[in-house]
Amino acid sequence: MIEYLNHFFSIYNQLLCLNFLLFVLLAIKTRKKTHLILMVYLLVIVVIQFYSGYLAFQGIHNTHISHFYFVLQFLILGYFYYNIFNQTFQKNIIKYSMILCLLILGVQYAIYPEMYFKFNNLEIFLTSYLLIIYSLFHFYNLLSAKKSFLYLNIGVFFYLFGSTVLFLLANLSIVVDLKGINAILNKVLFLFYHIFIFIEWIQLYLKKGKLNPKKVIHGI
Amino acid sequence: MEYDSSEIISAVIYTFTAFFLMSLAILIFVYYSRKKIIEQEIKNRDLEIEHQKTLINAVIQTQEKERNRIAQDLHDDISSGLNVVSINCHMLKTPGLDTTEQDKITDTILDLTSRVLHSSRRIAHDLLPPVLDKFGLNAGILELTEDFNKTGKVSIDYKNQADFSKIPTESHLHIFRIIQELINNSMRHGKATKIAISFTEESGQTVLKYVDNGCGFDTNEIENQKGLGMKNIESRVSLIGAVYKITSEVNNGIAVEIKI
Repeated sequence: MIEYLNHFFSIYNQLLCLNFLLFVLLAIKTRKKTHLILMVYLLVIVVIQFYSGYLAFQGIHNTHISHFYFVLQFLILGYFYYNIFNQTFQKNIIKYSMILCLLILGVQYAIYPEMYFKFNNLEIFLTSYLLIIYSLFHFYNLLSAKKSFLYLNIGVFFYLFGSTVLFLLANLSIVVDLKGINAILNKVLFLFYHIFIFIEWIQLYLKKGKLNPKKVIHGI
Repeated sequence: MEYDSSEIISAVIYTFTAFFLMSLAILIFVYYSRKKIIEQEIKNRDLEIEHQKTLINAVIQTQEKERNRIAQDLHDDISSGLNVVSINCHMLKTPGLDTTEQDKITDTILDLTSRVLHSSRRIAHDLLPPVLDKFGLNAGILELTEDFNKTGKVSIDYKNQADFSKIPTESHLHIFRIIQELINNSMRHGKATKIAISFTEESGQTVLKYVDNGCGFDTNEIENQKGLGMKNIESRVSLIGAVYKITSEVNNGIAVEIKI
């Protein structure tokens, strides 16, 4: 077990655990729903990373864990975006697309239960694509509103876009041999993603401490 | 491992469709964002125009108030005074006046005319102090501050380390009016008793610093920025091409900094 712990704390997982602890701190201090959701998201990722790493360490197949990863990420981040949107139109889109997606995946697993043990292409693409669309919605909202969750949104967009592209290319690896570069690129994306999450934490943490007793008016 | 050509084809088609969908999402996003940005620009421009309109309105209102005041002053002081003078002159024409009565009437006439002269000088001075015109901005501000100090209601400390010849002469009057308006504001709304005005040179710009010890105002309240006096100051500051900054806390007076 201890050998696994040493193995687990690579730089990527260190950053992940740091972000998780930071968001626990933030959620306790502010008790805002959105911060709680982010904290839960990071917790789920930590648990999945830990468990799948452990299975790999023991030499057991861990492909089925990926399903939990994609679906849970989709549900939690989708709920997060549902909470930060104000327009009913966007909220409805999230609601119905999430229900539709879960239905499609549910039907697919009902018909082909053996897909549980393989990478499910449709699931990966659908969940990532929908989250990319939600993050584009948020970018659109940010054009005319106060900057809120900008860095997190950038992180989510780049990470999902990049990992989806990588995944699609990996699909093509039966035509072209990628020589394992997609695994490296995925790790780089993961690193950038969590750096953005860290920057977002800094923004959120500093915002609540700002007090303005003296205001200044500028003219012309 | 051998793959069917059909598997390869389906993989390629699937990947292509996926890339296509992602590009589509981004293109739609770009299209709607552009629309929104342009709408935002238009909204901002409209707000700017509205603001300019309110400034013009404020200037016109002040102008009308001034005209009213001048009309009132002229009527009360000068018109009525000259009226009495003319009545007295008529009385002089009555036949059969003895010298004492004549002297009394002439004295009244002299007294009244000197009073009317004094009033008209005062009205002209209020409109545009001759000192400013003849001796320049520094002398004008000095006289203004001394006048206020003499009333005893407020004590103004005026320091000038700047060279006014760098500023175009048209702006001199604006600066004078700005200071007049600020002092009026401080005394009327802020109920200040101490004011400090200073001109300094900082990195090639003339900086006017104005501090009072009145009751200040909450700069977060929009109504405080809507006052007639503030709008006039804003108009004049923009006319001379300067930038102003107001800092204020409730009960802590105000500090105004204007960089010309």
